[in-house]
Order: sequence, then structure tokens, then C-alpha cells
Amino acid sequence: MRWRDALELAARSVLRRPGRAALTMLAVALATALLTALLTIADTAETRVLDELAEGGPISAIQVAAAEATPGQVQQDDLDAGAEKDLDEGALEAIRGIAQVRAVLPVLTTPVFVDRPTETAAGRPLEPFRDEMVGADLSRPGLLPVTTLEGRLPSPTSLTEVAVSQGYLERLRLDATQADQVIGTEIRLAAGRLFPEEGDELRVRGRWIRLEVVGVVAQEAGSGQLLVPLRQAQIARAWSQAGPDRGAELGTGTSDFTGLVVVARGIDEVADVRAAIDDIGYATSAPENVVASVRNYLGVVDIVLTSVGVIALTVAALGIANALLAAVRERQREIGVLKAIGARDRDVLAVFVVEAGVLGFVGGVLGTGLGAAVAAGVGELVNRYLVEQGLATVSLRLSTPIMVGGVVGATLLALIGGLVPAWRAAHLPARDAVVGA
Amino acid sequence: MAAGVRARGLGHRYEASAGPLAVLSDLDLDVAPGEHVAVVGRSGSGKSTLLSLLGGLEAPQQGQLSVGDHDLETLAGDNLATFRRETVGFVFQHFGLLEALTAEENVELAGTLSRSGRRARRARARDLLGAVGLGDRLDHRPAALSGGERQRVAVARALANEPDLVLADEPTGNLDDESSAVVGALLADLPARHGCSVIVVTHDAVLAGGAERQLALRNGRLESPVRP
Repeated sequence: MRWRDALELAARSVLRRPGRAALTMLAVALATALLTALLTIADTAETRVLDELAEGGPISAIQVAAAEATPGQVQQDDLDAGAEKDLDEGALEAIRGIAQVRAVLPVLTTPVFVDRPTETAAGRPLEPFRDEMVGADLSRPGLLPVTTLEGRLPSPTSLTEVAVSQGYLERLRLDATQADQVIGTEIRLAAGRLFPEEGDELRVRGRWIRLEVVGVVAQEAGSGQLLVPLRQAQIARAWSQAGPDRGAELGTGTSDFTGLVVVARGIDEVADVRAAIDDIGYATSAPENVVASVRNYLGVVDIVLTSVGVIALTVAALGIANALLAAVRERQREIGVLKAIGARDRDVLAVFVVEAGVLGFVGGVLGTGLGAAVAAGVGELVNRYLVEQGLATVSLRLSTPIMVGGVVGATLLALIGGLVPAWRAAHLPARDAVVGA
Repeated sequence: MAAGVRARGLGHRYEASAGPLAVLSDLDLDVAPGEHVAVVGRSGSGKSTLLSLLGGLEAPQQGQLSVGDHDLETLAGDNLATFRRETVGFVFQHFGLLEALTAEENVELAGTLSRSGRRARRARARDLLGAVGLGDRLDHRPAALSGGERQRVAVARALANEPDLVLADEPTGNLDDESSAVVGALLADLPARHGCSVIVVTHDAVLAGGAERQLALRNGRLESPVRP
């Protein structure tokens, strides 16, 4: 018998007993749904936890400081900087040339004075304050250690937009859930420059600009509450450095960049990239040790969740085996007739195995869809909680391997579950089968 | 092409709780190619066992049995399945139709097992169902057919692979007189129309009377002619 004919015959048998087939497929579907949902949630949770460890950015990001590396620096996650060392275009190109580097994003932090807004959201006076403006290459925000909590990032080329951090919200006495209140507001700030006055006096004058707040972020690209495109920070610092002290009094420094965000091609490449940067002579930091530890723990969680799903699938496979054993008993005469008209043992085996496969495949497809829906529902609940906590939301990803694995796994387990009944059917003595039942 | 049947010293027994039960004992049988033979006997006399041995549903435990060129005591596994598929056609008292399939698909099933092309086996099924007067019942499932119609479908299926020998086990056992007459006529017509031998085991005297020769199974042996 051809496989196509066996499939057709199996499908007819399934359709002839729709109630039993539906219940069997439901068991498979529920088990597959459980497995799919658990794996999807675990996968998303893992990504989220690792992202959090990397402060919102890619987990393979390395922060490079404008400082010399100290001995043993690459062995630890935290920055252990030595003497200051300028980060210029040459260093940037050298690091960009490391084989395992995917991207190098320069960061420039420069001091500014902020005098607007003059009031907090509660109407209380807000004193002008000094802070850092963090300029970064915002053309590839997904590679930066930045998470948008509300609104959006400034346009990469804009000189009129700014994103603020949670520290800025605190200054305005707002909590994370009230982040939307600052979107669309204006900040007036200035980069300072020393000007000589009569005699030996020096006076600070500012280059004032107005920026519109377009987003609230959690960021670790640099220490400052104001995130702007790199060009904006470069203009501000150039103004400050045009003074007689070249900005030294105001602390602008001499380095072209105050830091770099270096993204390795993968988490496993981080150590090599850090070592290469260390060789070039710069201090680095990356949460690789913490990430490695957490990955180990998450691996255990994965195993537990997968085991739960596999147990559910196994129970479903036993359900299929039970249903097929009942079918073999019920269809004993049918099996005998098949043999009487010339079916070989393997023809009968094929019909029952295919029938099990059909039940498993259809159940697997339905279950994977159901699992995706369950995972999406859980994701919705989780996102509500995260928003309430002032944290960035998660996007549940039903990955292709999980989908394919769900359907293939359900089909395979169903086939395994169907093997014993199919074997029994195939080896029924022909005469007993014809006379029996 | 019709196959002759030759059995010598055929013996068969079953294991029962009270000990071995001999059903056939030193049985001899000769059926000429194209002959129509009826085997009669009481219930439990071994008629169905004889038919099972002739059809290769089980292997003979003792003696020699050949159908056409096939020595059944030497066949096993796939070879036995091939013998059943290509040489023998079965008609059962319980019809043996698959409830999930239509009349046409049930007849096609024999061709499916012999890996015939879909178009050819469908055409063959339609021809055969037309020949047994069921050309207008192709799409009916067994549940929608009368007992007589089901048995005619079973006869059509038995002929699907052009067998040399048709074996019918109480083919009218579940039919009314009118349907029995139709099925009996169909079976009696097979040697002439399809060129096969026919062996029928039955209680039905009318059906047996339609055969060219009647044999009685008593004490595990065949006797001829039939005694009243």
C-alpha cells in the first residue's frame, strides 16, 4: 500500500469517529499548547532578564572608557579604570577592526546647565541645576544600552529633541508611571564657556538652546540625565572647549569621545573582544560573568519548564496509545478483512501509525496556535504589570524553532504512542481477526 | 485464469480449554479449475476452517494443500499476503466492508493494496459494481445499503483483483430469501463470467443447490455426494 493511500485510509478512520478523534487531538493540542506557551514565556523571560543585566542594551555590549586598562581588568565585569586616556577616531577605528566586533557606537558626555523647567509638576520651584548631556549615535538604538520607557528616542540627526532619564523625573518629583507627563515639555539648557573679563577675571557664559522632551529612557550609555544625538553633544562641547582653558575648568575633558559602546557578534565573543580592547589599551566593562551565571540558572528553569511540557506531551501520547488500542480492538474484524484481501502486516502497521501521526500532527498544529495565544495572554498581563512598575514592556516572541518543535514533537510522540497498537494490529492472526469481534 | 485446488491428508486442530480439538482430519479435496463447489455441514464441523486454509488466512498444520501453482504449506508472511491478494477473493457472511468507505472505495481497496493506479482501480470498481447491479450506489456507505446490496459489494470487491479462486463463507447467512437468490445467482455465474473457481461453504440448501458439486464435511472429512 502506498503511503498516500494509507494516509487517506487513516484520515477516513479518524473522520469516522469524530468524537474520539476530537478528544484525542484535544489532549495532544493541550499538551502542545502547554509546552509551546512555557517555552515561549521562558525564552522571553530569559531575553528580558539578560537585557536587564545589560541595562537595556544588547547583552553582548561592552562599554569602553576613556581610560587605561588596569591589570586584570578583563577578568571582572565592573569598570576598573586606570589613568585617563583619550579615545579618538584612531582608537575607534582600531576597535572597529577587531574581527568579532559587530558595531562601535561612540558616546560623548559633556556638562550643561539646565534652567528650565522652573517648576516641578507639583508646581514647586525647581532650582537650575548642572548635569551631563549624553550624546550617542542614535541611528542604531537597538545596539545601545538604552531602554525607552515612554515616548521615543530623539531623531538621530535632530538638534531640538532630548530624551530624559528617570533621574530627571525624580528631580521633577514624578514617578515612572507618570513619565508621560514630561513628553512634549521643554528644557532650556546651556553649554558653558569661560570668557576673560577685565583684569584676570573669567566669566562663564552659556550657549543656550531649547529642547523638546520626546521620551523617557533608562540608559547606561553615559552618566547624565539628558540623552541627545551625538552631534548635539559635540556642538555643545566644542563651544565649551573654545574658551581659554579649552573647557578644563568646566570638566569637558580632551578626549574626542568619553566612551564607546562596542557590540560583539555574540555573547560568546565578548571575552575575546574585551581582551583585544585591553591589548589596544583601554579599560572596559561588561556584565559577562553575571550574564553567564544567570544563563546557567535560566538553563535550569528552561529544563524544568520543558520537562513539564514533555510530561504533558507524554501523557497525551499515552492517550493516543489508549485510543488506538481501543480502535484496534474495535476494528479487529476490519483488520482481518484487510489481511484477507491481501494487506501485508506492514500495510496494516502503516494505516495505524499514520492514523496516530495524523492525530499528533493536527493536535500539534492546533496546540502550537493555542500555546501562542496563551503566551500572548500571559504577555499582556506581564506588560500591564511592567508598565505599572515603570518598566519597559516585553515582546513575546514565538520563535520558529519552538513552533516547529511543537508540531514535530507532538507528531513524533503520537507516532511513538501509536506504535504499540499499530504493531498489535499488524500482527493479529488473519483468521482470528476475521472471525473475532 | 481459474485455479484448481488439491488437498491431501489435510489436518487442523485448535487448542481448547478441554484439550486439543481436531477440526479437520486427513481431509482430501480436489476442485477443478472453473468448478463451482458447495461445502455443507453442521455448525462447528470445520467449514470455515477449511475455507481459511484454502484462502491462506492460516497455515495448514498437517498435509499438503495447493491452489493453482501455490503450495500453501510453503507460503508465509508477505508471500502469503500476495497469494491472498492476487489469487483469492473472499466473501464473508458479515460482508467485511469498511464502514468508513463508500461502496466504490471498498471495491477499490483491493486494488489499493496491489498498488494499482487510482484511475484504473476506480474504473474497475465501477465496472464491477455495475455488473452486480449497484452502479447507482457507488457513493453509498455500507450503513446506507441493504444486506443484499452489501453482499453484492463484497462480491464485487472479491473480484477486483481478478482472482483465480473465490471463497464464500456463508454468503447468504445474513440475507433474506430474495437477496440470497440474487447473491447465489451472482456466485453461480462467476466461473462462466469471470473464469474463476468458486467454493462456497453454507447451510443454505438453495445456495448449495446452485453449485455444480456438493460436498459434506463430517468428522473432519469431506464426503461426496451429499447425503440428505
